[in-house]
Amino acid sequence: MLVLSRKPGESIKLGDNIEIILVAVEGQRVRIGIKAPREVRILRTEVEPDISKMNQQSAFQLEKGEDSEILRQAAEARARKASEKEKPAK
Amino acid sequence: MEELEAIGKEILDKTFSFPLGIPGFPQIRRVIFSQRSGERPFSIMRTLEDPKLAFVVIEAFYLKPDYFVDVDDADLEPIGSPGPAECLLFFIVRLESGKPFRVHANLRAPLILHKDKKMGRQVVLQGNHPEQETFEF
Repeated sequence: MLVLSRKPGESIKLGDNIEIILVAVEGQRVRIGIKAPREVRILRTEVEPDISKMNQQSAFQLEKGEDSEILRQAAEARARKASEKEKPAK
Repeated sequence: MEELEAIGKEILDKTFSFPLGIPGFPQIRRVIFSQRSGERPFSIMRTLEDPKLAFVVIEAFYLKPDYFVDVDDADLEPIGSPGPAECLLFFIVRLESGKPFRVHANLRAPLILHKDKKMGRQVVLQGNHPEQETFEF
């Protein structure tokens, strides 16, 4: 890993069209500006593992027969709430 | 009413390819959607690589009628660059039975499907979408 020291206001170029600017240092926080083409995806590193974790928490194992019971419960609960809200005429 | 909330026939029982996998499940490349009448508007997305692995999904507007996304063209390119009319948005949800019944949805990372080319991916959005929102029924 390359490690560089920069002062606020200084920047680093990555290739031809990406520039990382050190905007300010405030105690434990560093503010960073990024100039990059629109197609470059920029994500806080901790976001992607969070999505993986949420997917893993949401995944379930399909067993024969009983698998859709909870979907039925969800659909019924939702329908019940909708009918409470709408108060259909009859 | 129930009929209206059925999953579209361009989706139902169709296989979609996910060329980039699903975060947390990089081995997954193909999924198939199924739905029984009592489950609407929820449906099950099974994976072909692991026949037991499945997710509950719901089309975004059933939970968030005002939900919209701003996705970079580059993010749509791997699924055939669908136009707005060819895109379907789904949330992966986690169901928690009880009173009230809770549905936890990941609004920051919807599934985007190209309904004609039968391709899809999960995108991670920039901006202010909450990572998880809980809906109570």
